[in-house]
Amino acid sequence: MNKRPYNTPDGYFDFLQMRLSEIPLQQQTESVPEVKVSRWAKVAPYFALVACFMAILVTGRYVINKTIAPAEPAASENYLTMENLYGADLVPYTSQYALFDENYYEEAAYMNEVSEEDIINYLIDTNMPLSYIGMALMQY
Amino acid sequence: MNQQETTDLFNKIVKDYSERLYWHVRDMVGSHDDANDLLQEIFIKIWTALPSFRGDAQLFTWAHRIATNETLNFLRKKKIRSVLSFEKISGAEERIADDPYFNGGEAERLLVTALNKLPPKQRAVFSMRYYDDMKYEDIAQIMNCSVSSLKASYHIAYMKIKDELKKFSTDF
Repeated sequence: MNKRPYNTPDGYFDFLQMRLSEIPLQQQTESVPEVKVSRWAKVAPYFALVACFMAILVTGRYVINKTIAPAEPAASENYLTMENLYGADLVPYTSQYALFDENYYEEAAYMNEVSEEDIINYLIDTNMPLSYIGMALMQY
Repeated sequence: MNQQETTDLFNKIVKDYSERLYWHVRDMVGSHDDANDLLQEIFIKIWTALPSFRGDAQLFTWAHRIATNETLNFLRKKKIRSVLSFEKISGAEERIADDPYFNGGEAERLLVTALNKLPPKQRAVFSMRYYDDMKYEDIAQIMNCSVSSLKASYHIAYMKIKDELKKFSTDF
């Protein structure tokens, strides 16, 4: 065997053996015991995440309902309202005078009646020519 | 193998082979400080791998293989680091001149300089054969290659060293 042209510090190999012999002890103390993790512990974070999400949804919905005015009822809601009407609600409006005056309708008919004289007076007032007044009276 | 048996076997490796492994690593890395640091890592690896030691290889060969692989990894990383940091790795001559533990004469200095110029694997093969006088079969097991390719590798290393020494001899 050829001799190597190197040397080492004095007592190096004694020191080296001592240092290397400590490796098993160092490795045993450094090794961390394995911690068993239950199945629930593995899935719990996901459940927590879902719960948080649901809580945010419910809270948001509540806040929106409380703070924003209700929107206009939809057409279907109007239809439902119409269903609740009674027959009396559909009766045409009756004048309040008609309730206490039995001659109300006769007088109204009289008031609404147009005589020949009314027509002639109206046409004269509007400066209508006599030929047109004659024609209008013939048609009437 | 229980814990006590593993510890006993480890202590046996430390007692019987730590010195030889030191020299093997030192031949490859060329510096006492690097060899000292690396030996700690190598023995941690040996301790970790010891429960899986099946006994189908000799303990010394097995430990030597771990040491060789770790040293080759170390040299590869060192080379990559030096490329990335643009740091020049000192030449073979400079390394020997700076080594406070070199105690050889001029012939040894030339030989070690030539040896340090070899690629790491060839350096390992040549050192094991030349300094430790190991059998080709054992070296082949350590290097995880066939005996024939190992002999070829040793021959190439030998020729390179011879050429280097010739160059030096013509310079004088």
